[in-house]
This record gives sequence, structure tokens and C-alpha cells, in this order.
Amino acid sequence: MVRCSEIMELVSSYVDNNLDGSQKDLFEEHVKTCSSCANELKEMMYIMKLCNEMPEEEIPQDFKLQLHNKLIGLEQKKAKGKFGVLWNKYLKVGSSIAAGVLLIVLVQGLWSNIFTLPVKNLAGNSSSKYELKDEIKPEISNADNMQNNYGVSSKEAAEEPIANAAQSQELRKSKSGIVKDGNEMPAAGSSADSTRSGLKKSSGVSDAWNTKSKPAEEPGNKESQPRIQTTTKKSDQTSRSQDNVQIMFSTASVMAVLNRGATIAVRAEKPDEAAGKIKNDALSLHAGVLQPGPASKLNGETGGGVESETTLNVRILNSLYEQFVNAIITDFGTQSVKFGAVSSRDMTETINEKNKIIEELDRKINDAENGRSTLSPNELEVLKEERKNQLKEIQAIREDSNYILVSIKITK
Amino acid sequence: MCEDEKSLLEKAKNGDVFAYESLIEGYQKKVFNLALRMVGNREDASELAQEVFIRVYKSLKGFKEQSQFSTWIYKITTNVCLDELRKRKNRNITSLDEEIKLEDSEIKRQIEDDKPTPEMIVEKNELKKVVSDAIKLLSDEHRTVIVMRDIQGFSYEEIARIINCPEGTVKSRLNRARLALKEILKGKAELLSYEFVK
Repeated sequence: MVRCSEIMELVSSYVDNNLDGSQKDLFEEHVKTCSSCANELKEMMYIMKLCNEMPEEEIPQDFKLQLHNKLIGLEQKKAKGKFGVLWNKYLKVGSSIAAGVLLIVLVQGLWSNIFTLPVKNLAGNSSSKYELKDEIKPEISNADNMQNNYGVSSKEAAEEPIANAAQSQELRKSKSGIVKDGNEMPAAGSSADSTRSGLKKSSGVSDAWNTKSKPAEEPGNKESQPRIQTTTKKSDQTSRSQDNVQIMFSTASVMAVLNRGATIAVRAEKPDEAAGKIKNDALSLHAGVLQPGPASKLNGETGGGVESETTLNVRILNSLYEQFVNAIITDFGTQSVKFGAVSSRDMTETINEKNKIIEELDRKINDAENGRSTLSPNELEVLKEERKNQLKEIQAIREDSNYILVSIKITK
Repeated sequence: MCEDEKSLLEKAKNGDVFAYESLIEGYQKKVFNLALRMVGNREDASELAQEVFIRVYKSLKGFKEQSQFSTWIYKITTNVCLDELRKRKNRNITSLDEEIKLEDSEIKRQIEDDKPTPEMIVEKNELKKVVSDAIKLLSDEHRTVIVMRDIQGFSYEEIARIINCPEGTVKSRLNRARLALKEILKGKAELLSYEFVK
């Protein structure tokens, strides 16, 4: 006869149907004759039933968002650790250059009475670079050692525009011809041409890039044409530095040259109305609601959509994405919103490649302008155009990295 | 692990937070519920579940793909929860529950409180609360296997892998845990006793 305590060892496995044949027979035989063990079995089964019926609860509404923030925080910390050394190394140079850029923007603003964003000047448009160059001429020519503006003292450089504003006005008057050119150069091609021809007269822009020490060899050149020549060279160096700065020194680029895409699926009774709601959410967060590409036939925006399904494409600032997600959750509830596949593409390599192409183009352009290679003016023009395009593309990538492109699919 | 998961895992290993979020999408609810049954309240469970996914993210690079990703996540979940329960004990948060020794297992004695009367427990929701409270009174070891097997529905084999012990140990531990839970519930409400003998 089997003892009850032995049977009790088996009760759990019996309930789970985990006993082998002989053990099972033994167990069943015993409970047929032992009411106490039969009772134990019933109780055990009842408890398991209760446990099995325990409902699975939904995760809290803000769970995903909180986790997301923590993960992003981790990544940022990692990025800081990784690039901290590099960052410290370039911080001084970077801040000096930043001050230089500020100075240029400020002077440019004073000049035309319109403060334009530096981005525009750095947009990779070589004509705008030439514009910039001419406009800062008087400013830079006033500095005793122009390299300081960009290499050493950010403080000095930052104070410069205020101190020199009046002088700049004076200089503007005295060099009205050049300044006028600078101010009235809206068209890319013509302005570049006119500036370039001017540069050629003054021995060419390429010299400035290749011979950095040249301005120092001409310390007294503060008057008239020679001064213009020197400053032109200098500002070209600056412009080149700015392009590099954008890629090398900016923390933003270090941490976020990532082009991101996210997908969100929303279930709603009336997809069109839901799309309107989401669009409003997006617009209130200054996002752009984009027309979808030709692949999407389901867009409610274009009116050609299928009623039960709508897709919205939203381009929103990274920093406002969480708010956007929150707004959607508030509108539709966690049950109806699903965050699908999200991707991010690291564009740093692409930018580096483009920089290499630009360097190569620079080299070719320099060679041609210095007579070290035989390129026709047309061929030279093509190279310059290519350089301009590459810079534009870099700028576009960098600007995109501030945004996340969200594709929101709304279904019934 | 399917190809999609593998690709997401690779991206996540390289710091792609979004890929990681897609990868863990299917595990969030289960991890949260596991934590909920282990620690007993939503706020703590939410914190712990997040802690789990942060730990997983941090150790992605060390994840060996020959083991199952799900098992790995649940193993971390169990460890995080047990750590928390241990910490609580040290802080005497659960000191109201005095441990008593039974023949071959430990259970906690339930203190007197103003919980609902047996009549009120008739309500189904209350019944669930009773079970939930009873589970809280189990020892950590027993609670782990009960939650995994009887609430979450893991197989013996999975549990053995998650808690890193032989299947035989899981069987016997589960048996003791169920008996302990039964004892707690029996003492908790007459109604349950009534239900038992029906």
C-alpha cells in the first residue's frame, strides 16, 4: 500500500499530466480509495484553475515611452563617453570657429539689415560662399591677425563685430563697388562668376588654400586691392573650415547624424477622421505632413486613398517625437496604437565619403586654377558644380538628422 | 530566432534603440506580468520590467545566440524580481509577514488585517485578489515557479532553463509550492474551503 505522503509528492505532476504510465495508475488507484488524497487533488486542481484564470494585465500607458527615454539616455551617455575625449580636444578650436561663424553672420546681418540663418550660407552653395567671403572682407581686414578669429581667441572674435561695426560701415562706403557686388548677388551662377573673375585678378583663391602662411608674409596689407586679396584668401579658408566644422566638431553631428524612420499603426473607426486628428497633432508640434511617395496608394491626403486605410507621413523634430507619440496615445489609447518597425541609418560614413569627394574636387580645382592641369573652363565649371552639389547633400543629410520621418498607417 | 529578429538584434547590438524596441515588443507584456505577479503591484512591476529591458539592452553584446532570446529575457526578469524581493526583505518592507517553517517548505504567516469578509470574497474579482495576495505570501522560490507555471504557462523545460536547475527540481519545487499555496488559501477564506470540497 502506498503512503499518502508519497501520493502527495505526485499530485502536482498528475495535474500537469506529467506522470508516466505506472505512476499514473498507482496515483489513480490510490485516490479512488483514499478520500483525503482525493480531496487534496480536487483542491489542487481548483487552485490551479484560479491561477490559470488570473488575467494578463496590460502594460502601463507610459511604459514604452519611459523605457524609450531611458534607452535614449543610455545611448547619449555612451556617445558622450566615446566622443568626450575627441570633443574636449576640439572644443577650443570648435568654439573659436563657432565665434568666427557668429561674427560673419552678425556682420552679414548688419550689412543687409536682414539676419539670415547661418545654415543658408553654409548650405553648400559655392556662390553663397563667395557672397559670404566678399561681405566679410572689411570685417576681417580690420583684424590685426586674422587667423586669431578662427584659430585662437574666441572671445576676441566674438567681441569683434561690435567693435568693428562702425568701421565696417566706413569701409563699406570706401569699397562701395565690392560691397555692392556682395549685396546684390542673389543668383548663384553669375555671382560666382563675377567673384571668381575678381579673384583671378588677385592671384586666385587656390593660393590661399594652399599657402596658409601667405597672409602672414604680407602683414602690412591693409589698404586697397592688396588687402582685398588677402582677406579673400582668408575668408576662403574660413569657409572651408566651416564645412569641416559642420562635420567634425559639432556634437550634434557626432551624436545624431542618423536618419530615422518610424512606423506607427493606429486603429480607428474612421481612418480619415483619425488622420485629421493626427495631422493636427503633428502640425501643432510644427511637424511637416508630407505627401507620400508613389508607392503609397492609401494616402488620405491626396484623396486617392482607400477609405478603410490611410497613411500619413510626418516629418517631426527628434525632440518633439515623444510629444507626438504621447498625443497619439492620448487620442487613441495604447490599445489602438502599435509602434512598428523603426529604423535609423547612420549617415556619418556617407558624409565622410562626400567630404573625401569634396577634397578630391578641391584638389582638382586648385590644380586647374594654378595651371597644374589642363582643364577647359567648362570642365572646371562642372567640377565646381559637383562640389556645390556634394556640399548641398551633406547639409541636407545633416538637417534631416534633426528629424524623424514617421509613417502612420491608420486602419479600421 | 527568426531572420527578422536576428537582423533587429544585430542593429540593437550596434546601438539602434528603435530596432531594440521592435525586438522586445512581443516580450513587454509577459515580462511586465511576470514582474507584476512576483512583486504584487503595477508601479513596481513597471519599474522592474523597464529595468529588465535596460539590463538586456546593456548586455546584448554578450548574448549567445545559441540560447533562446526569450529564455534569456525571462531569466533576467526572474533575477531582477528576486533581487528586488531580497532588497525589500533587507529593508524590512515585508516584515509584517513572519516566516514559518512547515514540514518541507516555508510559507509566510498571514497577519490579521481588515481584508474583505468571506461574503465579499464571493465576487470573482475578489477571488482573484485573494489568489494574488496568497501568491505574495509564498516564498520567493515557490512564487517564482507558481507564477511561471500556473499563471504564465511556461513548460517545465522552459522553467528549468530560466531558473537554471534540473527539470526534476522544478517538478518537486512546483509540487511543494502548490501545496503551500493551497495551505495559505485554505486558511484565508472559508469560502475557498467550501469550493475545494465541491
